[in-house]
Amino acid sequence: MTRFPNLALCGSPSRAIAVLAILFGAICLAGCSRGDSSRASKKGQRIVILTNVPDPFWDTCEAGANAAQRDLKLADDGISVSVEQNTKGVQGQIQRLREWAGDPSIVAVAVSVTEPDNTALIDAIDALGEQGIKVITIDSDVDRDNPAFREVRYGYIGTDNVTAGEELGKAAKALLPEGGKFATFVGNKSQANAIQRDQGFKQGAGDSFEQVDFLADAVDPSKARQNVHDVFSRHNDLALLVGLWAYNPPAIADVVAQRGVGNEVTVVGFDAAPLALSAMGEGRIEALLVQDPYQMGYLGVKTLKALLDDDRTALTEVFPKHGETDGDIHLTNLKVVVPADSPLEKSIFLESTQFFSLDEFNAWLKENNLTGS
Amino acid sequence: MSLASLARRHRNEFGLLFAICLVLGTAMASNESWQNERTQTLNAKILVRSASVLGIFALGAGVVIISGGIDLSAGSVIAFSATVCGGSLLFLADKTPSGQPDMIHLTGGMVALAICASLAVGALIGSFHAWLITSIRLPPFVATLASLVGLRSLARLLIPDLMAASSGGTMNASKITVQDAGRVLRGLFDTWYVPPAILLVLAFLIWVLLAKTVAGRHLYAMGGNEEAARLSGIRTDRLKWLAYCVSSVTASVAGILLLAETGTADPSTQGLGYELYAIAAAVIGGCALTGGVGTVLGILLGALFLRVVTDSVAKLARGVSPDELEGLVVGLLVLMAVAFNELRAAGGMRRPFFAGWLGIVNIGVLALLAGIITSILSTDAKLWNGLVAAVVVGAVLVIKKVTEVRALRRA
Repeated sequence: MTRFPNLALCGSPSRAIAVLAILFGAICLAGCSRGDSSRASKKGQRIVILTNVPDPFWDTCEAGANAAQRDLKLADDGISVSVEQNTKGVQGQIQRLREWAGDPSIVAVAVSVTEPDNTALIDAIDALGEQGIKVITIDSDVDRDNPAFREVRYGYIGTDNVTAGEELGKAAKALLPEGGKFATFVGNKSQANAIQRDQGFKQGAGDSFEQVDFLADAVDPSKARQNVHDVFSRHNDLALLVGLWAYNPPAIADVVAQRGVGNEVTVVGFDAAPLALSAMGEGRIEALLVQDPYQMGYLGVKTLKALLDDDRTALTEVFPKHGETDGDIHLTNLKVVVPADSPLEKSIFLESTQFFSLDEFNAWLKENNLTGS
Repeated sequence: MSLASLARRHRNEFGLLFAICLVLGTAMASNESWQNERTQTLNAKILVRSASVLGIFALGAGVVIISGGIDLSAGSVIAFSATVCGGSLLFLADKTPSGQPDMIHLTGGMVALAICASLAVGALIGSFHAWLITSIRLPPFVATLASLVGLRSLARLLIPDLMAASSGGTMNASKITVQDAGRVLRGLFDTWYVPPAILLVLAFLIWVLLAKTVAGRHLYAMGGNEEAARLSGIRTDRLKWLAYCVSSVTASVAGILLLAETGTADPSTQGLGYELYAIAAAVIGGCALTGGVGTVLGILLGALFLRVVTDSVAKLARGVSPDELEGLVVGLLVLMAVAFNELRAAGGMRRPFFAGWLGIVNIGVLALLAGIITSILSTDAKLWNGLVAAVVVGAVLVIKKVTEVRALRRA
């Protein structure tokens, strides 16, 4: 016999359903009151930033978005800004976007696209536009080679991941002029920024480097460490390890320290997680390529507000050549962070890339009240 | 007790031990890192340590399975207890001049208190599960499924508030970072023998509970037939509380160790899907999902076998990425282990496997699967190798089907 919860406790099934409905309502009300107190919105309009994966990267982005919210006095217009972390891959993004298309409180969305050429995702973004919701992409764009995909958003604000990869590749080449075997680590190999960073890295590092493994860890930091151990078991002549997502460089640095091979391999990677900065301070990471999520959040909110107000002046500040070829792309700054005694020099990187020593970068973080970037 | 009767009683454990030696022997013979003097010790330590973490929460999952229940919440409890431990440290740590918690310099006292808080929360979660199951009469699957999805979400919601409250509103982050320069907490994982030592202590305590106490015998009895156990005067509600508490507390211990390993409490990804590994280890170790069957030694060997296999796959895979292959291997292993346990029961091997149209369809399915797997694992002539494997497996299974039909006619 199938056993069901003891509804008799509540008298009758209908009473049980009523009790559950009251409980659900109470939880919803508690949630709303919590949201209202922090957002202080009059009309309840919302600008939302939808992430691709959960990552502290987005905390910095949120700090930028909040700064824009304050500077533009959005609370006075009854508009709140929030960052929604997507944990369920492309399906999670599609589901959220579909829900928002039918939610009158959502007025503008910035989305970091998980799969740039996924037609269901593009359709879900397009459906927002059909409801009058303003849309831009940040951090990770739609497939720009497809003009129809490009039209579903006003523009893209973020890093050119290929260029970012190239910059890190140049750093690796300068650190190891004779090249060697390397392995790359990431959360998800099919995601656009992973593919583009990997491609850029290989271009920047040149032919003297040979990639012997490219491993994914499904964003599990323990698995990320296991992957690094596994690579050492599979290859005994590695010269370089590359971490593509924020938690990968500290995971690599931990394993390198545990295995006592710090003198044999060089570690470089993306983003500046707090643990990656500590590891660099201890001499276990040689270079970090850092994006500017703060700027992405700030300019993202500024652009969406300008779109809502049809403020051409503000839009031109962010996208001065909108309407021309690639005028819908605003590339944010890249930063290279190196330890104090690094042989790397500013001159090998692009003019636009900012060059920081670890101390200078920590000071910049402190100035902006951040622990990582 | 004679050796023969010991072997008969612990056939599953001996089988697993043999399988572990076989897989490990193959890996050692063909992987360079197992032959290099410098790396072989390191490999062994890493393997034992990761198997120990899995073993710790697999023990909890095993106790619940033996008691006739199921606990799907292990992965979320791991994430939640890591958050509680990291969150407690936020409040226990000294403050920096800017008023933020100094997570770089932690003392033994702070870490011990945070661990106690985490274990206490683990016990509370277990008590909550037991209450849902015994008082509200929710099926264990539903009660722990709710925690599987709910606890992770709760931890994610808690972190921004914990960060803000511990720093006077100056910090906002979606995960807690524990730098711990003195390696007070992180040393728990860095020191390779700590996780195995914790596992051995827990395993001993659970073995004493299951094999040497009345409560343990009652747990087996309840798992075998709950109604009969209740009618014979066993207080099943208390036993369920015990089983679910053991499960949640062991998951909490694993959560603390994973926080020590990674230095981050990140509930959105930490321990994601680990409950299935725990159940898989228990099932491979001989626990029957119907309850009443299983041993501590079996669960430990099940966890070790699972880790040895995934580790060997990672070391030996060529032409295919080990992270992609791992899921397939674990899936096949679970199927084979359970099938083996079922078939070794009296008359299991004499049963017809491919009766009727369902048998014919599944001869095709198995042949196709063999072909696809062979093709994927081949480095060259993929299509040809896959085709040969599919034909060979198909032919063998057809012969088996023909033999079954003939035997049926004779009967």
